[in-house]
Amino acid sequence: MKKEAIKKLNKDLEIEYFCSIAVLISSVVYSILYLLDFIGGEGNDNLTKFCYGVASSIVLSLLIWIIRDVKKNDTPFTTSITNKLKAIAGVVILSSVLPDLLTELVVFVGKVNADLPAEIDFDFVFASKTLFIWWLGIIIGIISEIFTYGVKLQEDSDSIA
Amino acid sequence: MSIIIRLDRMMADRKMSLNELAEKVDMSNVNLSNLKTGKMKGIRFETLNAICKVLECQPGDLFEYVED
Repeated sequence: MKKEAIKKLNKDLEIEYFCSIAVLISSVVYSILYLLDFIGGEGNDNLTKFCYGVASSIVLSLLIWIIRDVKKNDTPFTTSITNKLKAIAGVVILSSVLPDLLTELVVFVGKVNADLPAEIDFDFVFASKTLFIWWLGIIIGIISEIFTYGVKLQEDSDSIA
Repeated sequence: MSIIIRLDRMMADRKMSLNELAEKVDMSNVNLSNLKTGKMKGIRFETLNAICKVLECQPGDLFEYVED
């Protein structure tokens, strides 16, 4: 029964695997384009988009790695996969504030260098988008703890012939 | 644990190697070796059924209870 379940899981993950690779490639390409636009002076929003692109690329890379680990170990419940889920949670939580914060810092430094009145606007911290991404990260963190329990159950199951 | 696994004795009686038994009961060599050496915490009825069928024995022939 376990073999059939693993076979089905691996089959179901095939589509997600190839979709993740496709989205990762486009995420990396767009990140580079946004960075080039920002460097070319086409607006500070491009820096925010670049940061989100980098965060997405990291998350997608970890997801692809997780799917490969599931195929390699014939189970989704391993310490390695749990650690990757925790890393995804961390990246998502950081990406809720870091991109906007970085953009605000760049604008602030630019204004200071130009001897203009400058202040950092922290309104983005309580924006709906920020809170939504923050909660997403928390939920992924909770799922990683559930997977930690799953690892223990897997070890117990593997000790029965 | 007080349950002793006598699988090695039964395999010797039937002149069957670990690899051969593992293949016939559809188990990995590692898991069967762990079962033989008493490292497993339990055994499923499905596995027990397969081993008894291949070795032509009763479940009681494979296990022995010894007082601690």
